[in-house]
Amino acid sequence: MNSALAIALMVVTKLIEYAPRVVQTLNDLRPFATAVFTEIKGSGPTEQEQADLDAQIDVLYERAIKPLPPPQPGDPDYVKDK
Amino acid sequence: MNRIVIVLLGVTLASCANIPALDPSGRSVLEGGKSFVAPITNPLVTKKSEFNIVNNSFGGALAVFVNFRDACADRLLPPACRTAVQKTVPYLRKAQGTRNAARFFVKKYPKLDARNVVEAFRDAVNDFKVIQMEQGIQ
Repeated sequence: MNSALAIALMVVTKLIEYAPRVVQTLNDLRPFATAVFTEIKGSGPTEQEQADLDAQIDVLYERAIKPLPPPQPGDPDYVKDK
Repeated sequence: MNRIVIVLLGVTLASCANIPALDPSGRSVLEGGKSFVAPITNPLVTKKSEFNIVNNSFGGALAVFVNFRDACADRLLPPACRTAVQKTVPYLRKAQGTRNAARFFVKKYPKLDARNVVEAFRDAVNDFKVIQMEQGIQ
């Protein structure tokens, strides 16, 4: 009984931990998916909407190329000081 | 005889010269207008919409990658995610480079054939998506 409770608690904890990330990813992804869909349908976003998406891509790119924090013991790229 | 040939060749070549359009501001009948002498858009030119499709598809892939990277940086994911991020970034840089080139070209020369630059951008985005899938970035 206790172990079942522990597993349930772990699942809930993980859900709370990951859910905001998943929601954030979907929120970031949605405008691009909508734009591709409307473009294929023939209407497409307006010039202003496309300019906003372009700016959004530039912001995302700057975030994406930021270096990761320094590695810690256990990380694959961690190099032990001699 | 030679002179005649040269004159004929000259006349033939002259016909290839870039003659300005007779009605540059008019709209051709082929595009729903009334003018018979107005220029038309080259139908082979890659439309801006094709660039936008690749561009926005890149944006979607980038959004997924950025959230994966942030989760990795916050140590929400197993340490192996660092390798995945580091392996993917060079492909991302290449995709952004080709995007900038294509964007510049499409904006500066809206009536020229942009297929080459858009194709290069599309290939780079596809490579970026493939490495993302290989590295389990979803």
